Amino acid sequence: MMAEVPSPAVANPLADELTGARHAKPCALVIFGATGDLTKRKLVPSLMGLAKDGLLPPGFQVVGFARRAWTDDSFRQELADGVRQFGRTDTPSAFEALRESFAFHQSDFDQPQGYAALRERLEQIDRHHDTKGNRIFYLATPPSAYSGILQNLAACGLSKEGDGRFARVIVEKPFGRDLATAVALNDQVRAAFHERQVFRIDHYLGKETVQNILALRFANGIFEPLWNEKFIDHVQITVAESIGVGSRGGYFEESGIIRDMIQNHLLQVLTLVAMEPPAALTADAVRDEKVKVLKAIRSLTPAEVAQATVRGQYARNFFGGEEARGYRDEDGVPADSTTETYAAVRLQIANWRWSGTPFFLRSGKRLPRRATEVAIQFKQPPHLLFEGGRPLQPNVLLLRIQPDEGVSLRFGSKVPGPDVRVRDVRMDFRYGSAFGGEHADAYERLLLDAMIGDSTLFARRDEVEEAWRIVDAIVAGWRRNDQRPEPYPAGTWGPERADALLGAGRTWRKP
Amino acid sequence: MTALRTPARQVALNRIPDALRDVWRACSSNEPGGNVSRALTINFIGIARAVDELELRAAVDKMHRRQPCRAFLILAQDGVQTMHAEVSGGARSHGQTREIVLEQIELRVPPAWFGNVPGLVRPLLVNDIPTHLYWATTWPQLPRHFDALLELSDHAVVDSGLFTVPAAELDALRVRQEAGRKLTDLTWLRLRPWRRALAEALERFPWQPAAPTSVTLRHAANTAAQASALLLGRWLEKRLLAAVFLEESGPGEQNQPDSVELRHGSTTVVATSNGRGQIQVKVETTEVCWLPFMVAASRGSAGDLLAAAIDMA
Repeated sequence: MMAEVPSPAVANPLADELTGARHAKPCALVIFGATGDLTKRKLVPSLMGLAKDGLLPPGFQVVGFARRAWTDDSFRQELADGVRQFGRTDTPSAFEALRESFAFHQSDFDQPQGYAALRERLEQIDRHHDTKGNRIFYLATPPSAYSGILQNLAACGLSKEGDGRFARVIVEKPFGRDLATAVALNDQVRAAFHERQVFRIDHYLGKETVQNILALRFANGIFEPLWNEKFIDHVQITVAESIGVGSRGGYFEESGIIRDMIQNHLLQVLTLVAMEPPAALTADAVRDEKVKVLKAIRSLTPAEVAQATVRGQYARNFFGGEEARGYRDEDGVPADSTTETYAAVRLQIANWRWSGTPFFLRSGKRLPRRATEVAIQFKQPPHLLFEGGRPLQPNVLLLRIQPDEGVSLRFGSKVPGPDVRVRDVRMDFRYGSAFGGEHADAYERLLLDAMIGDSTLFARRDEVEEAWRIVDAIVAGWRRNDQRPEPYPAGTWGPERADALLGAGRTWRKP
Repeated sequence: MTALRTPARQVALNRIPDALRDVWRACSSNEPGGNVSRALTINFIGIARAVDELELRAAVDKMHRRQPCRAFLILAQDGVQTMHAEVSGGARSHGQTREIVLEQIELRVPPAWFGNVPGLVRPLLVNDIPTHLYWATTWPQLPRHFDALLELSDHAVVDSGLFTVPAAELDALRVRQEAGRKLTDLTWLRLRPWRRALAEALERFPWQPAAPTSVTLRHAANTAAQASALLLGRWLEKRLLAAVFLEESGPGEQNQPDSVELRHGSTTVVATSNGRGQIQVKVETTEVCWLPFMVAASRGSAGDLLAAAIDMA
């Protein structure tokens, strides 16, 4: 097989093999707080999932940065245990093949010498593994450590990009505890990294079913014409957990459900449900549209907060075959705690598409079951022909995010027989059936995106700050109104007053 | 979520639709409020020789978990006089709901009857969902049998690693691709890590279009490795305008190349399978000798690759 010498000049004639698929460039990942649970349970098992699928870049290296006096060997052993316990099938063998790619670097987070040594170590990795000076820094530490880490990364030049090298930082939630602290944190991040280098991770956005909201809306012609205030009565977004706060009582006491869930996960899901079609599926085009939704949600006044929100706190009850403790009996929680473990909020999006269609968000702990879903409830037909003109059950398009992931549509159908009677039936799509097999964890997708440099599924600074503006107004209203959480028995769907929030003719779904 | 399989039942050819209805009944739940529905997303037609039955079953078993299907397993069998059919099904339960994810019709076909298979299969295909053909055997002695099934299908998957005369049979495949048939070769999918490894290597030095380029591909002396080397060689010849040489390295079981040596001017790239599921790549120019990097070689089974091929189609 002989061929002629080509004449036109080309860069890499096989480059499409690297760009066609989602392949990351060679890089090193530094995990700050590498001895913590997140690294063991999520980050490294997810990296091994990527390795199993052949998605890690060549020469990929990981440096664990933490205070504890661990060695490379003890670090690797801990990670191997984590992958065995929490990884997908076959990932332990992937870890063994890459074991030598993990190294441990001991230092305090605010000690400059530790960063100088880290820099040397990374330069050595570049020389040995051709990682080309590309670095990703993952802040898997408590937020109190962020400041020291960011300052030191900047001081020793590790946050600088140039000559084709990238430096990115992944920041874990919480992104502050109110607007002021979020702005302060974002300023700290900005002092070290440009916004395009920053990847704020909300793992909900990495879930296939959350990403499917965009596919469902914008890849199909049938839904979008109905997706507005003319046809949709209201939207319910629910994130319910059956467990209590467990050992996180101390942390939860500081945040409450509104900061822990609604400010991030629920508002993120809301933006995907409510946004306008983006011009393209690029990071900024998508995030611009999401921000517009948040901006269209007006901050509630204290009087509106009293009408449009419900706070609850779970109380002792017999639930799931055993006596479940009340929130105030949990470890680390004061007996007179006024932190909410349940919140329901009615939000209005003031734009042409949604004016007059309320969005109800609710999240709680110790609810009857774990479920995350978006229910789009349609209006009744304009003229009721059936069942003697009585209103029928409304059509509901249900997006089940977890568990039992899928989409279903509830509609009325004639019951066979001589009478004209209508009964509800359900058209159902289940991910597990239509796309069986083992799905990648949300962190896998997000880690790969960070390596590729695609920030579509990460929260941008303005998104985070707008979400805090909305939540801060609610928290301020609660404080101003002295609106204390209402107790609800563990294992029930929250305080009774939450039903009144919906308005006449509407009921909360029981997922 | 739990799985349920109905036992295989031998049926007369004209009773297959009844047997499929029985599968529905067998999968129905007796519990009050129980419900059964069908979650089939594709029709699947798998062809293999009876001696390769286990491999085909394993591939279908893996594939149907990802792609719920009505599957026709067609086993070409010497020594039987007429066509035999067996029908079975599979369902998954979620609470009180059961979803049928597999309706399997297994046909044992004497070679002389092979021409009748399309006529039997055509009316049994579920309408309005795509049909995928998996030709898991050697290139047919009578290509019209393959073409008749291709005609029924929206997409066909072959594995040129099973071909007996790869050079000529890959040409026959190419003719069909050029005629607009949607065909995926599993051997080509297995080469994806090699393609990526070479593309990654070419990132390390500037490509000089005028510099002479040659590629030597070494492969084990078996037809699967030969098909693999031919596919990769033809691709490199076309993309790099390289002179390509194939060399047999000796007897072996490997179904992918042993190594690829690419010379471009004074630069050398050597990609070698290390036998432990990785491809090691060394790049050396007159100025720099890079430390080798690794790329994970394809570890997917035929079933994994089949599911991927159907996903991509």
